[in-house]
Amino acid sequence: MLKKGLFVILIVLLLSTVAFSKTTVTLYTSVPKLIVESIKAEFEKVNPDIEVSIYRSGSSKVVAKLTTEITSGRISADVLWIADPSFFVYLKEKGLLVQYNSEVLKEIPAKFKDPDNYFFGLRAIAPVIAYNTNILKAEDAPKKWIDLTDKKFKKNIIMPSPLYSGSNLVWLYCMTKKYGWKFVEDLSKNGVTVCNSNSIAMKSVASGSYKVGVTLDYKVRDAMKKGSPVNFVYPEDGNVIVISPMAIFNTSKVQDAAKKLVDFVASKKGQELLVKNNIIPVRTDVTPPAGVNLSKLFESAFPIDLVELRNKAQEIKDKFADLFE
Amino acid sequence: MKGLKFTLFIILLILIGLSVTLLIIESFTDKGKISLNNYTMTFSRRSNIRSFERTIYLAIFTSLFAGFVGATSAWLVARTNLPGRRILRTILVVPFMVPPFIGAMGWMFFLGRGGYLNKLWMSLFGREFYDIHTFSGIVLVLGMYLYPLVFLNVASALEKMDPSLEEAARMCGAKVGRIMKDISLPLVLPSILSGMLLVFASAAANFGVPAIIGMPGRVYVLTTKIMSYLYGGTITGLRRAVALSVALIGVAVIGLILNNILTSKSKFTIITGKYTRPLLVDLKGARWIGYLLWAFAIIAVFVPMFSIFLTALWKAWGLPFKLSSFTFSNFTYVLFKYSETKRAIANSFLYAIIAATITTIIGALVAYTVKKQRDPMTKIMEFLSTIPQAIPGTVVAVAMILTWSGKLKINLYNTVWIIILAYIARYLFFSVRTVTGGLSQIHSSLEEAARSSGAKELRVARDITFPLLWPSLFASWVLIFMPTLRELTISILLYGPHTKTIGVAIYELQDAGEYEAASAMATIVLIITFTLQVIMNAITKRKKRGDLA
Repeated sequence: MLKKGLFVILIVLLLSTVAFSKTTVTLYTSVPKLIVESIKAEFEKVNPDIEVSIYRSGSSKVVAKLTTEITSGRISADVLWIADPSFFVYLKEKGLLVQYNSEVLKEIPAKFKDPDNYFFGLRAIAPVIAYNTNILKAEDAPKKWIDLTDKKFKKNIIMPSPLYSGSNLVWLYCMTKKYGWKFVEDLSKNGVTVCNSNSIAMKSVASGSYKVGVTLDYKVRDAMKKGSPVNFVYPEDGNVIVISPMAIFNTSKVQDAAKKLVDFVASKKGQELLVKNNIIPVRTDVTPPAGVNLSKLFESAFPIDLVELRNKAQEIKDKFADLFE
Repeated sequence: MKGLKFTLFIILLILIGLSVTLLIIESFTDKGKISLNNYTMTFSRRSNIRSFERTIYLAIFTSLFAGFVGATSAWLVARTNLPGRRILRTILVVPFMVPPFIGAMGWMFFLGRGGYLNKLWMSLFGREFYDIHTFSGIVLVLGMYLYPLVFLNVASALEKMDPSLEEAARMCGAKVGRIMKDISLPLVLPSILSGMLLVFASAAANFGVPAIIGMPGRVYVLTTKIMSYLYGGTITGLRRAVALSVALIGVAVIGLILNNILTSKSKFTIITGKYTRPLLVDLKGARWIGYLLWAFAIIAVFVPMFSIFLTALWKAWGLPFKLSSFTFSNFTYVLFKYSETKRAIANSFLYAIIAATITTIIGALVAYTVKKQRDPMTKIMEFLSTIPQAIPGTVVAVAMILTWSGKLKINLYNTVWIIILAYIARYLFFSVRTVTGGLSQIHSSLEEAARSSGAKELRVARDITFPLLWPSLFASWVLIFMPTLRELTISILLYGPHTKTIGVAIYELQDAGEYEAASAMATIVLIITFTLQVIMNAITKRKKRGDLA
């Protein structure tokens, strides 16, 4: 009798786990934890049968992990969302991505997407010059990128390393195109400190450890909202706008769920979540964060050739390491 | 017995022999052919050459610093009438129990950018006191945590020295200074040098201190450069990391080989095992040296810990120094609220228990087999088990990545098992050494007695050897459990999305500028470490007393 009862309970338990088991989508991303957690929460509300599992780190570390996974032939990620667009070009060339288009994605301007629909830029981030307002007055702060080589700021600048940060790699690529490697040498001579992430650079400027920092626009907006003594400028000698793409691996076993996640981020609701976190949206029907003039911003932006960036990435990293490590 | 021996042989071969061999082969291969391309590609870059040179300088300067501090303080404590020398002897060993990367954090909070002392100095004199994020900063901090290697070596040599030699000199009319210079110093010189060579190898292999102290100041050594390449995420980077790893083995091995030559050449017969009461030097007018040592000990031990405790209680790094700026919430945050740290603590305990248990079992069996049978196979086993001693943790991790991420059709990358395998390979020699020591104390007559009474081999092992060996098995377990619990060097390169350890969590928190949370975690680790150490000491003491009775 007892045995029978146990057996029945066991069967019921088994069935219930089958019935309620969720599809798990694994997202590898460099989007800050708090932001990606809020997206996950909202997405799971709309899709109760899907669970998003997140691995978050700096762009380069995510790339490192994926490179090892690709060579070992077992990719754990279903969806990728990092700041280094050149890696998506590589993945596309390797034939590892899913070609995807949907009603929602059609609403994203073409300039943010891969022409063959393999990856989709779903977040615009911009490296900017941030400064501590307790230490520097607005008129004393650097106005242009080239000002970072000014002796006035010697040993008082912090920036993320392009070896870790995808957006900073794009930034460095733009800088060397405009000013050549002399600019980077001068940065090194000016005693610029490099750190592992834009968040650290932001924090160091907010705490006053450094007067000036190169970090991402939305991080400064966020810090300002929270009352940190910081401000920033979109430099006069050209904006670097990094379009942080999302893509789905064709090795994924849960591609339908993965597509739903991409659609969610591309949707009005998803983009509004980004704006809530002070990030520039890629949809025209979503109001950007206060004070952002989108058309002006994109007008003065550096043109970025993704294929060239991908070809030059190693060289840029090597030369940078020689100068800074 | 034969089956056991063969199994152990295979385990050691796969665990250690295979991965190290693969690493070296990989470093000399390019596109399937033997070539030096990886090396030329690596060492044609300035930053790589620099990191190699720096590693050697770091090892040299740290061993000089540690040698000076360790030997002087050992002499002062063991052979002078320094006030409070017994307490001092205990205090001076404390840095040895503190994980260097945690100590480095403490020093950074004190002497880093915006550090406590620098801030004070800035408000008083308008400039910073000292920038610790420099090469000299790495040497100082590393030396502060490695000098006990010299200190312990020299102090025990000085205490065990045969007093008749010094007395003979005194009879002949030599003054105390002369005796120390001509008799005592030459006698302990081998201990000093051997300690310094151990420091040399440890300094070259250290990751935590150069990472926390050096990287913010753009001072890179081999271990941090290897990490930088692995994190860089390119195939080129991986190949360079491999070449640099082999170079790093080279540096570490130099120290250990020299040490082996030294210890095998010099005869320690002068130093007997007898407990003696050697000549004490009266410091007289030079008492200030004693106070200097006290000052050093207090600074070395308390400054970093104080900085960490203080930071752990801070609401936010950089707030004004007022009572309202302090809080206990950082502790509740890392212990109960933040899922990442909670998980890391659980992970580390689990991994340390698994690693300590497996390693002790394998190590004990290896020690037992090697002792029972001397043949070529066991000789190779013995050799294999000692290899990881010479291999820095960073290199062990690189070798594990090469071996276990699909190359041999087994993919453990991102799983807990690659971490456990690395821990076992890294710490196996601890266990083999400890258990071999325990075995050598069991006189064979005990086992023979059992055998002549008709007991089978297994029965002898179970009823005689094992119970007698129990204390050293326990010691081996603790010796592995403690360092793996707070391990950083290996886990930082091997952890996956779900396998973060305490060391990695602390490192990443401080790296992200979350100094308060990192310090709270570090404080917890320090408390665990000291508690375990006290328990361990109590147990070994009781064991000793029990043995006598």
